[in-house]
This record gives sequence, C-alpha cells and structure tokens, in this order.
Amino acid sequence: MEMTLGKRIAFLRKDKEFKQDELAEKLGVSAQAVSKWENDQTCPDITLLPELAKLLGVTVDELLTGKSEPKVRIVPEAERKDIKDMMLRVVMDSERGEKMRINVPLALVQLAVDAGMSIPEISGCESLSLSNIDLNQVMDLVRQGVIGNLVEMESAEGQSIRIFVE
Amino acid sequence: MKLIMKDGKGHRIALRIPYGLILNKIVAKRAPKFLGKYGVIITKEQAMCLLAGLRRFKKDYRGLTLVEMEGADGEYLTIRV
Repeated sequence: MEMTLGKRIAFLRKDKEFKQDELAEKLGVSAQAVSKWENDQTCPDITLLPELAKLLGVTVDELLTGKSEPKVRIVPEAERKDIKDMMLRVVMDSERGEKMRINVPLALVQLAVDAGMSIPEISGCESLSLSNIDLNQVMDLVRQGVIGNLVEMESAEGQSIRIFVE
Repeated sequence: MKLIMKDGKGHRIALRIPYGLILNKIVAKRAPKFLGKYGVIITKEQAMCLLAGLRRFKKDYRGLTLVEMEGADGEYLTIRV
C-alpha cells in the first residue's frame, strides 16, 4: 500500500529513533506541527524540506514520492548521452564544514586519460586518497552506460568524497 | 574565465580573465607550484594537458562552473568557464 507523506515522515522518524519533539526541535517547529504532518493534516513548509529530508536520511525527492532513485544505474545504449554532454562531478566535504565541488566535462576527462593522467591528489583530505582511482576504469564504466555514484568515500573524521557521472 | 571570490566578511570580487592570460605555457609551468600551496598536487605535464583541454572545450562549456569552494568561515570561490 502506498504511503502518504505523513506516514512516510512518521516511518522514517521512527527508523531514525527520533521522538516527535526531538525532530521538531531540530527543525525549529513545534511538536504539534510534526504531529500534524504525520497525521496528514498539514504539510511541512517547503523551506523545511531539505533539512527534514537530511535528518531523515533521504533525498527530498524520496521524501515526497517515496521512490528511491538507484544510486548507480546502467543506461540502455539507445538512451545514452554523448560523452561530450556528460559531466564528472566531484563533491568533497570536510569535517570542518569546508566544501569543494568540481565539475569536469567527460570529454576533458577522456583527454586526461589519453594523456596518461590520474586524478590529482588534493591535500586536506589525507584520509581519503583519490590517486588510487583509475580514470581509465571510470571511462570504461561510462562507455558501458554506467551513470550515478561511482565512488563514495567517508573517513572516520567526517570527510567525505563522492564522484558521480551524469 | 570568471573568478568570483568572497571572504566571510561580505567582500566580493568578480574577475573576468581573458583566456589568453591563462591558457598559455607560462601559466602551465607555474600552475603546479601555485596550486601546490593550496593543496592541489599536479605536475607540469598535467597542467599543460588540462589547459590544452580547456582551450579546446571552452566554447562548448560556456558558463560551466568548473570549481566551487566554500570555506568554513564563509570564504567562497568559484571558477566559471
């Protein structure tokens, strides 16, 4: 049976072992507001959705639709985009709150692979080394239609790196 | 190429840099030493390769944000094609 938004919020909240007033406090709303959401009497304000989704461990899309997008998938050959229309994205977050986002056209990655390059090492993420990631293998995966999260790393200190193709 | 920098105190600088100033061998030779100070380790050959690629692809990817960095204190840097 398909869940309503309220039932989904309740389910995810219990899964995360939050009480209603704990969730309310984290979002800066009243416990009654959370109760009303869960009973489908009202909906969360749109501005709260990103934070609510993050607390419940899902994306906003998953929260609203109940459907989870597979993190990696293989696109059928007929639907694949040209490599020059695709992007390699690197998302790095440090435990200190620093963020880095790098967007590289796959055509440029191909050029780098042809030149025998590997991913440059970026210090500040000592626990997570990118230099072992083989760009050749990344491009092979892309040519076979793989898109989505190719690499996800998280260190004990809280640094995280995600490399995905879209 | 456009660079936008903000510090955590509300100051903002936006620089438009002609490609001729950055997509050349002189910059490619100096880039590794400069980037090394900020923790990005690349060789001269990698820098030359990347700059050649950027020269080739700059028209195809106009407006693309290549790099976006945000510091813990609110400092912000973007590099856009």
